[in-house]
Amino acid sequence: MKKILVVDDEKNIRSLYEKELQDEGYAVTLAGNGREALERFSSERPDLVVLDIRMPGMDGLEALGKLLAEDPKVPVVLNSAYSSYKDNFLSWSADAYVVKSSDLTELKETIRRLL
Amino acid sequence: MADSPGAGLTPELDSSPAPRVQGLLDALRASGDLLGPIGVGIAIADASGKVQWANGLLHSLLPSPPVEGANCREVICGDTCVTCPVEEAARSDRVFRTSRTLHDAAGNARSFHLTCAPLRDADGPPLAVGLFMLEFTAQETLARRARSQEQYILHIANAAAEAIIILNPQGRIWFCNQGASRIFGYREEELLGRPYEVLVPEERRQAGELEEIARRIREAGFLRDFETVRQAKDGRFVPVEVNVTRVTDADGREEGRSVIYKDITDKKRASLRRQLQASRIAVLNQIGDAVHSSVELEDVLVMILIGVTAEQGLRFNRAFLLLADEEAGLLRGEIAIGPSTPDDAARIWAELGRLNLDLHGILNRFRGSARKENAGVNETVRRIEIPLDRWDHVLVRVLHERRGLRVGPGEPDGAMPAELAEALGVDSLAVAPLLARDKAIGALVADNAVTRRAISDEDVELLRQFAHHAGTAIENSRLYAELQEKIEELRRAHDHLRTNQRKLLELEKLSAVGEMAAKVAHEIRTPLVSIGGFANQVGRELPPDDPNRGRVQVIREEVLRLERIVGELLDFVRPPSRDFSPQAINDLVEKATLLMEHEVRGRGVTIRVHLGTELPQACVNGNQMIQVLNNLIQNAAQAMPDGGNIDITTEAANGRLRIHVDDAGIGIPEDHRVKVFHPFFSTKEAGSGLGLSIASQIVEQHQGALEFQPREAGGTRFSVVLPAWPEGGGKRDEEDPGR
Repeated sequence: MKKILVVDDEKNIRSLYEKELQDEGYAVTLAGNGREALERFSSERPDLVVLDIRMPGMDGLEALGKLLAEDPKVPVVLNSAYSSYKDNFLSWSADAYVVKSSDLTELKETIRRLL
Repeated sequence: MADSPGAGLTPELDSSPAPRVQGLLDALRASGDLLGPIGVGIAIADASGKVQWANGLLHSLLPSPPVEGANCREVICGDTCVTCPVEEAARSDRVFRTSRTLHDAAGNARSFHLTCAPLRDADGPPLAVGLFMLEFTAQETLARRARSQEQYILHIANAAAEAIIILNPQGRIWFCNQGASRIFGYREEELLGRPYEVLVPEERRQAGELEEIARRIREAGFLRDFETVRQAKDGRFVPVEVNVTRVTDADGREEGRSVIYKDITDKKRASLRRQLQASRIAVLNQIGDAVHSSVELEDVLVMILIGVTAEQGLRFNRAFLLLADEEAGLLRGEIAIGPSTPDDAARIWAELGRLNLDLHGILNRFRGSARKENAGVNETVRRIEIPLDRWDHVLVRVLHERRGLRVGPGEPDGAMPAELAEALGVDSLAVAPLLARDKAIGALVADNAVTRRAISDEDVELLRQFAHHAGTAIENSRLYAELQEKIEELRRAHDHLRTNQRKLLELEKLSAVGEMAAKVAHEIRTPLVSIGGFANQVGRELPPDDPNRGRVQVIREEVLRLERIVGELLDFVRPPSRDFSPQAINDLVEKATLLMEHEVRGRGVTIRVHLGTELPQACVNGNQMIQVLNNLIQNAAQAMPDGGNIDITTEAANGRLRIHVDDAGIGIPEDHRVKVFHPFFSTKEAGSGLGLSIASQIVEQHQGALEFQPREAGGTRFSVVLPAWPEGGGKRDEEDPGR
């Protein structure tokens, strides 16, 4: 069973994604900010990371850099309410960029493609 | 006449004095110089001319004292003696009188009356001759002085600038100086002996001037500084100042008259000039005032013409104003003033006389009605059109020569063109150029068609000067009009700027609102994800017959709609992308079509694509351009609620690429057209109103334009117009296989 780390400061989003991805047959582990995400990543070694960008403390892009420093091969899907980060060159190092939507079809398809 | 001394002496004269003479001599000698003080030099010579005795006075008169026995010729007459008075007296036995001029010891010439009387017995022959010399040198000097004074006076008289004429008692000229010849052109001999009236013009004679002068002289004895004119030999009239004095003899009897003429042509001309100047200044002042009171070109023109024709102005009968039309290359009659017929003239003058108007009054009286009231001459003037390159035409020539001219018969410089004479009905006129800042802008023509008064040099000169000022006035009025226009332009530009500034302010406000909207939109998006996401989960888990399924579905759809609105809003406020690259627009159209086909098919809408061939590329942000097309397709689909076809056409022309998106929908109502691209304008129930706004904004960022127009078949055509890349569309669309 593939393990997915979902990083989002919004508890409701985390809860939504957890249920949704479990339904899709993934093991899901959660983190509420950048620092927590790095800890979880080290301990849980997920197969894929869904990473929010705008978060208090360490934001997603900073966390992305550190995650990739630890494991340059892990697929990362940036998932943000903002589409503007698409133009940020830091985000280019992620494998995908999906704008948040209540319709999770795109996100789920992207994850499926990357795993 | 004897040439040698002693010749011709009568033989009867004994060389030794007769005893009786000897007695006389003795008596004289004994008397001493008794007769000296009476101023008479006395000598006694014998009949042969030998001096026997001379008194003291004679001694003092002569250079060398007469030696008794010397010949009188030697001691008295010297070289001046031609006929010896002593011999003459002795020969003729008569008293002989003559005069002699002798030089005394000091070398002074002295003149004497010389009387020689024979001395004889009662009936015998002359025994001796008595010589009496009376000096008259003083009188002689006076006479000589008088003669030289006469010369001086003549010299002075000739040097005088005035004509000096002296008349004899019969009124005939017996003297005239060179000044008279100079002024009147007669030679001296042509005047001498002629009656005084030869110089008086007929006209003055008929005016009774001679009687007037005679009366004044009779009353005052002289005539002083009498101004009149005299006629020169060539018929020319010479303005003169006359001074007449009676010349009388010592007893007061009139011997004649001296007449002095002073030529005052220059003075007269200057005074005339001054008068003219004064009148011109007055006219110009009034015209100037009038011009100041109005800047309308028409008023200025009328005032000029009135200035030319007014009794207080230049006093011409009629005036015509012609303006140069550089564009048409014509000198064109513009406006005129003056009576058409003598009757007309009489009527107008009678009216003006009755109203007793000054120039101001006349200006006001005619302002605005000049053309109408002078319809006849205005019709005439408007028929005048002279090509500006007709240098032979006198009216054109004055523009180039910049001078006033009298045109008419006998004017070497001013031959009257036949057609002009015919048009105006006169054979002479005055013309002057209207000058403004050294440029001839037209011509002022004036004539005396009614009174037929001759046009003088002064009239022409005055018209010239007046026209010069008039030209400036016209130019000023034109400049003023131009200035008004410029001011109006500036005002419009100012309004435009203000409008733009207001728009800018609105945009700025809008941009602030946009920023706020973006922030809010992002904040909303996250909870929407939760709401919609959980609704999806709930919906999936509900049994198929659960009544809540429908309610959950509503939540899902509404969330999706909210998300779409938020997405569009964020697209709208997103800063412009710089990610441009040359693209084949046919590809973009196909991609957009592919994306949208599925969505619109559900509404019964079919997309038909008509791609142009060999199209140049366009330098665009591909994703944004696809978004533009998506928005247009969506808009087109929404315009056809009952379904239909969307036709997409691509083409290129004149360096521009065009993508047309045509629908067969309801069309855009007239009153909505201006607002189509306004943000948040929407007539659709399910729209944010940003679709077309975003599309328009994106296309504009591509230096293109989003246009729309109603289609004849119904519906609307939206066209994306983009510049071809590279500029000019030189590069062909390589990816286009030529469909």
